[in-house]
Amino acid sequence: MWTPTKTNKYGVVIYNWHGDNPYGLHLEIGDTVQILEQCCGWFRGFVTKNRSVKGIFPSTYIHLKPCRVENEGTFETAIPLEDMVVREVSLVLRDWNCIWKSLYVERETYKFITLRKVMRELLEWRKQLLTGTLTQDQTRELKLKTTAKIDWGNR
Amino acid sequence: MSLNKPEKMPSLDANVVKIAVEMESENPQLKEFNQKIPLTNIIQDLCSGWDLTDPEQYALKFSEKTNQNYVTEKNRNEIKNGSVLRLAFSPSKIAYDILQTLHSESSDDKNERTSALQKLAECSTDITFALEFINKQGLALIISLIERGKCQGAMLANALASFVELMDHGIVSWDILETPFINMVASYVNNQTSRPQEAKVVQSSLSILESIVLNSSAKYGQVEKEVGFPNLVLRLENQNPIIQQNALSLINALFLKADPAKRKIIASTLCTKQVRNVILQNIIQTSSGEVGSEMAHQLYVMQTLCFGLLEERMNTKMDPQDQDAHEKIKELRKIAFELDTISGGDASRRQLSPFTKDYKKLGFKYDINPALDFTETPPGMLALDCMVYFARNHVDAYTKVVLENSCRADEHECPFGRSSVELVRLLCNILRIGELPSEQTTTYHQIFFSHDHPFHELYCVCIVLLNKTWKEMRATTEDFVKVLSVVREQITRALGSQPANLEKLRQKLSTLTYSEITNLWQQERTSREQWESHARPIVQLKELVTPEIVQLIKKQRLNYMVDGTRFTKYSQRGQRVKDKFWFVRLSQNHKVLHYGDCDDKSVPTIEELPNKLGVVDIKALLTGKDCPHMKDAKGRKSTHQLAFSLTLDSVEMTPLYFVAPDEMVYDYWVDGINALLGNKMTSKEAENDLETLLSMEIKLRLLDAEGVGVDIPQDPPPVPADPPNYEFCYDFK
Repeated sequence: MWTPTKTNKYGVVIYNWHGDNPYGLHLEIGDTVQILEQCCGWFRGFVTKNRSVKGIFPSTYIHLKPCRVENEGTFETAIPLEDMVVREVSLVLRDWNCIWKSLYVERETYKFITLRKVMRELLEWRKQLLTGTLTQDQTRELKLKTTAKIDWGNR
Repeated sequence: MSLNKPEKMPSLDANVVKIAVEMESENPQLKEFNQKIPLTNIIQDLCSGWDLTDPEQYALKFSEKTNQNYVTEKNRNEIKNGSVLRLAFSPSKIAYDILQTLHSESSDDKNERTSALQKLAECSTDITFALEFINKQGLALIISLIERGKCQGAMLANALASFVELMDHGIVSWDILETPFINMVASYVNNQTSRPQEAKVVQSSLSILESIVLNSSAKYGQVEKEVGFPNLVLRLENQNPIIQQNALSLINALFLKADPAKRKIIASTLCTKQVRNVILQNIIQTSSGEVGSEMAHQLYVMQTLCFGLLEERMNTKMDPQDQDAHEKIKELRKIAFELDTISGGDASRRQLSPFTKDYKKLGFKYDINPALDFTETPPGMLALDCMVYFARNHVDAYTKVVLENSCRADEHECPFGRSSVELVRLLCNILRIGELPSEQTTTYHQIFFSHDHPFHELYCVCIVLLNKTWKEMRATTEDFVKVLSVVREQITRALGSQPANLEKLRQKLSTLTYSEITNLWQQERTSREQWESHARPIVQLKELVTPEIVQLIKKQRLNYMVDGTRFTKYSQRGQRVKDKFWFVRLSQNHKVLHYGDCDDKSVPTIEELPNKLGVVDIKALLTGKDCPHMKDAKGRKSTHQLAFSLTLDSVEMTPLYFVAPDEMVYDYWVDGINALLGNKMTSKEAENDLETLLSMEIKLRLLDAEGVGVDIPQDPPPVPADPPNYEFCYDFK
């Protein structure tokens, strides 16, 4: 019996899933998925970057993450409970990645190298925030540094 | 002409294995052993091969270093091709013979009986034999032999060893043993003669008593009464490691099965300096310096049991009526704040104002009523015990820790009370207090044999450490969890280095500063990332993403060609033509190369370039020395490295000869042309670009898979069976 999941609503893919099973959903490692229902070790849901394609996949391929659910029901949305700064960095980095790649194609070499350096810094800081071993003081400092950097980048 | 038939077909029957069978003073027989034929038939067959009558007196045995047991219908499938077996007397025959010898009271020949018992000890390790012997009432005979004290010396040693082996199979319950037997065996333990043959007697006796204690609850008291603890401790001083080990095992068994009151008595005996020194000197710090794994396990069990005694305090909440505990809290305050003040002087003031202010300074969570700090279990009252121990026994260190923090005016003080409670909870967790000893573990800590109150002392060292780490981290009270995670790392790493005593522990901890721990963590992260970048799913992802990135590089290269490049002119023979240049551009639609002469400064537009070459007309791209215009070039290494040319399908058109001004231009053009021709881009630049773009792309793709608790598996996770149906609850049609 397929039943709507109660708490298991959101997770990250930890192994590539081909998706060529009946009603299968192709997953790539690192994708985030929203889960709608479950049955016998399977989840049904969609990759958050493409809500329109639904499908099923083994629950063992997913690492579940805490989230809160808005608009419960068929069109519900799971919002991960992440640190705001960490989340912001992820979004910004992905935005910048597009810009960065077009800088590459246009051979804006200087900007390309500078942006790369900043992105790597942000990646490192985000990692430090995630490990959760920093004290409040250090965290505050790092968050300030990070947001300042983001503002610089968005200019 | 004769047909070539194979002489003999190799046996295809999976049930047949080829083996050899040996027998003392006989020539071995090679046999095809059919697993489907009963063993008795096979044995009959073998016996007739050696002209032996009475085949029922014989049986097959394995003949390997580690396995010399009888072959039975149950274990016969262990026989493999090439196995060597031995034909020997059957268990029944041997058991019968031994019993005959032992029963014949007339036989005064001690040697004969001794060798029968020796044979029995050897054979009894095999369960097939043991069953046979026990069924023939053999065990009862052995018990009575021991019980009546009829044996001595080697005979006794063999009788006891046989008993141990026979019981080891778990066929007979330990409850059958009666008091006289136990007393007799206990007397061998208590008897402190040191003749060599006695060693085996003592070993076996200790092992028998241990089994009785562990397996027969009714007989615990008897064993405990008969062998005194002091006797067992004396046995630990024995130089024979097996006696030491068996004595320690028996001590642990007595400890484990004791009632709570008795446990305390046993533990306090074990913690005395005398017993600890016996263990340290005779077992741990021996000249060989080695502790066998079974001994290590017993030491671990002993430590676990000793620490287990803390469990009660750890799980006890402070009782608000407990006057003694209230006194202890007051004592903490007194030692910290009243030691320096002249006694009596301001006593009246103290009387008036409650101690709340001082309790706040002591860092209690509930400064109005600190008793509430000890209501959480674990660590419960154990935390208070540790704090008082610290205050009483290490006054200087205690007052330093308390005063240092109570005098701070900022939010960076480390509250002593609260951190003590957290630390004791952490220590209980690290040392697994309250858990029963596990079967396999062999890690013991020598350091805990070095003090009467090892746990409390460990706390004293660690509370100082916690304060130091707190300062290094510039932590605030919001950071408790983080400081404790660092402290946990410091303690487990320091204990892992197996310090011999508290001083060594302190030294080790002083090297494990906060920055050292963060370094170690950073290293672990990096090596984990390195491992992960080779993990299968990530390699797969890279392969998946690569074509996308290659397209990007291609686009960039073609853009570059569209913008065009000025080349120096070279003659067909590879000679540079002075001050002559030409310019090449790719058309916007990537179909035509436009080129023409130019000067050293101008950038001609596409209309200004008179010559055209359709990409479809290009036959091949040649590079380096393969270029026609470089064939005769000599010596100028750098030139031909930067040379490339386009050969054409039509002979009417002249090929294009290029020499790039530098490597980057060369790489870009060669990549671009390869891309136009549908070839792979292989230049160094292309490789670098791919690496740069791909590594960023992968990092960003994996952002959500980063962080604590997400493990990337090397192999695909298990996939469940297909779901029974596809009748989903949510319909999106």
